[in-house]
Amino acid sequence: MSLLEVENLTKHFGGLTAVRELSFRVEEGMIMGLIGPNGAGKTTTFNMISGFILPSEGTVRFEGKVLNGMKPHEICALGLTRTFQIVQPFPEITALENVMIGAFVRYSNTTDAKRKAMETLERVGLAHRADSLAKDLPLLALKRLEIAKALATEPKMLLLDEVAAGLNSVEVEEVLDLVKELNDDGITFLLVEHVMKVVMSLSDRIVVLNFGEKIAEGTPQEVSRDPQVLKAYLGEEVFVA
Amino acid sequence: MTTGLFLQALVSGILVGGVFALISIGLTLIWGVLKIINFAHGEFLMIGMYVVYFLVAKLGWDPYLTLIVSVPALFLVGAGIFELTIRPILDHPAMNQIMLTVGLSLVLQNLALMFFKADVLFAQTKYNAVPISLGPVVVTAGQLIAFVGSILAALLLYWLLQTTDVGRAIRAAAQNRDAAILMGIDVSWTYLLAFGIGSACLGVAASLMIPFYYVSPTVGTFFGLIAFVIVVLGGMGNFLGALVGGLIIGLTESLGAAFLPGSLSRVLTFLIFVLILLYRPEGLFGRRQR
Amino acid sequence: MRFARKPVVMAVILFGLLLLVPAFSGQYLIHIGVMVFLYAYLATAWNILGGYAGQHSLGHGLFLGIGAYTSTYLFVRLGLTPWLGMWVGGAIAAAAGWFIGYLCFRYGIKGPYFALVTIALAEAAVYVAANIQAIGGAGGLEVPWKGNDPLIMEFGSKAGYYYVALIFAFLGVVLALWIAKSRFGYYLVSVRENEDAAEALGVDTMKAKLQAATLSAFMTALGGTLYAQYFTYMNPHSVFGEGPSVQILLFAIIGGIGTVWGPFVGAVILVPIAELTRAYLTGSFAGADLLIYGLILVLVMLFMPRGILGALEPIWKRQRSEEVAK
Repeated sequence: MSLLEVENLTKHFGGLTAVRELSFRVEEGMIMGLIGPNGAGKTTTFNMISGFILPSEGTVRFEGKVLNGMKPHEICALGLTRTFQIVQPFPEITALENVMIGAFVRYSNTTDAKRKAMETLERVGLAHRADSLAKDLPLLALKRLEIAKALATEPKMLLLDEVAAGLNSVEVEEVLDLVKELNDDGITFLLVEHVMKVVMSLSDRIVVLNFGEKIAEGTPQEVSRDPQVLKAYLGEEVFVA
Repeated sequence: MTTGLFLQALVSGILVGGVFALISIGLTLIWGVLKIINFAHGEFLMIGMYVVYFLVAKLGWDPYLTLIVSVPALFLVGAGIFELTIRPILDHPAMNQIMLTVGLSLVLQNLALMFFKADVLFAQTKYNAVPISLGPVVVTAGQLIAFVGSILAALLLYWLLQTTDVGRAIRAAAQNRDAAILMGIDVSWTYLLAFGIGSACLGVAASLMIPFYYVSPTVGTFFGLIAFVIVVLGGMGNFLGALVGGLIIGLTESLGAAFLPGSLSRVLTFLIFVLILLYRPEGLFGRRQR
Repeated sequence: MRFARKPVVMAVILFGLLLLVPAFSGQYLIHIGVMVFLYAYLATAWNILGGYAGQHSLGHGLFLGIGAYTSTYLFVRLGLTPWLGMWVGGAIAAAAGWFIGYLCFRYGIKGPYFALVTIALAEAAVYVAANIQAIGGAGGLEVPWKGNDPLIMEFGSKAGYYYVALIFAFLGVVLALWIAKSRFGYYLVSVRENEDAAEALGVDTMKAKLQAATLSAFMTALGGTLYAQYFTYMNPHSVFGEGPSVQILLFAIIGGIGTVWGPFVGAVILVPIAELTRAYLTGSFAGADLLIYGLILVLVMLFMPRGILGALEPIWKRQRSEEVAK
């Protein structure tokens, strides 16, 4: 049994079909990449898996359990946590308190949640900003915070939505390292990414979407040589030689 | 339930609905352009009504002559209050804006209480002295003129918004503020105008209402709330919606008062309000935003 | 109940000192005290839904009225002491709060639209109550005076009401303190700050909001009973409508919305000002206090949008980061 199973996932928005019969599996311990041109349906897929949107057809299974119809907070409690493409901090509270919100799903006691949150901040390298208000943090710190919040929920699997967007190459390296470390610690990943360097170097396998359909799946090497994939990205300067 | 009573209520409802519509058009303009819910809208009307009452009862003016005073006066009041208190907080959270206008309404209402006491004032003019019979229905000239006047004012405003440059600028700023700025529209000026014009509508309404309605410090509370109901019913920022909504609520109030015991007609209005917010929050004519 | 020692100690000392006030004060000062603590309590109750959870209700008068009318009705009809009738009112209000919350949150009504719904319901309650003759209709209801009998919440001197109001305010603040440090409190804040992010992190946002609405309504209704007993008279306009609703939240907003002590501070500062104004202008006009409230509200929104405590926060933050640095 795969950790995450997506089967025939489909979403219609009125006359538009954003995602069509998408199927893939993510095995435990894997880093799976989800790529595709803009508008390919990646975020919609994420939203369906994490419970923010109801699928029109198809099923999502996590550890064998059907997620369709569950609320996002229930899915998080099961061990599947997502981050957001545009960072979504809680602006008026501190970084520590931000992460505590995530920790509370496992620790109902405030002291324990605080301890877990502090540990998590150290893990992502944000401990020195624990008492800063989230609204005062720069983008890179906010990205780390976004991961920290999700991490504090002690997930079995993390869905990262364009975590590298807006970062310079040094910052991207740091995020890359962090994800690798977390993966080594046992967390499974599904990454949506545009920054090819991240996807290609991190992913064990990649699923490629275009116009809502899966057009390729395989290892980074296989996918980067797939003519369908190249055609979809034609005109976009994405592949590092 | 006699037909006579029904017809009377129907006609009164439509007539008063016209005035409701005019009051609401001002609010929907402000709400649509500035995205601000002005809780002091009713109190602005109250100010207008006191001004008109004074001119009519103390100086003997013909109520409709007061238009030349009430319209500019309310425009200035609106523009002035906007500049002083609302412009500074345009980018603040919506709740702060609401609380500010709530504060304004408290101030205005209690200032009126201070100056004019709680007295209910009614101006006797020739427009409510002689009743007019339209078949089984009886109305006063004041009511008829108010209805016609409201519709005319509404149409005039509509024409202004559609055809003049100023009107188009206001509509542009309402639809997309950033795009409007990029197109060279002085958005901050249009905000001022929108607020002023929205308030000026109340000046018209005041002159039209004094011939058949009383004024007191609390008169604004009722009309303010009614205006909210109508704006939500018709759709925020929607002109036609305010017009139709005004007529609907006018009928609801009137028919409700005729056929429901006590003051339950008011409850009916609020019930409609809550239902619309629950099931069709964009209003009858609005576009679904979610 | 695990929470920081220092604030609770502070609260106990403060309220302990306040207990001594009646011994040194005249009737008028004690009256101001009753008003201060009653409104501090009501504002604290409102703040749980409006400040912590960020759902600004402009119609809390509904719950105030339910509390006031229920306990009084049971007192008049069945001779039930308001001390018990209070809980019945609280239960009814809690149910109402839950129901209104459910309707609104289920349909995604938030922000200004939520405020409008609550106003509409509160104003509708005025008219409904005015039409129910069993509770006095538009004329209102009077609380029968049976003489000095603490068991039915009636006191010969104002000091009795003072102590009751003080205890209400004290318990309100303690509860607010506890919630602020609990998971529930953090969840409410997360809902206020970013509902989607909260959901994604395992917060059942619907449940949190409903709990806040229910608790806030319940607490407000309890205060309604004290209100009824102290003023011995209520009518639909004095408890249900927009007026009382706005008064309740005024102190929370001006004192510092979303903070523990904000509502209390707001009441402590504003109520005496309003009461004194009313005393000096007696006969001149009723509504002097509302005028002052309105003026201060406008000024605060313009210059201190986060309230008095909110404006003082930077000073504390500096203190706190110095502590952390040690």
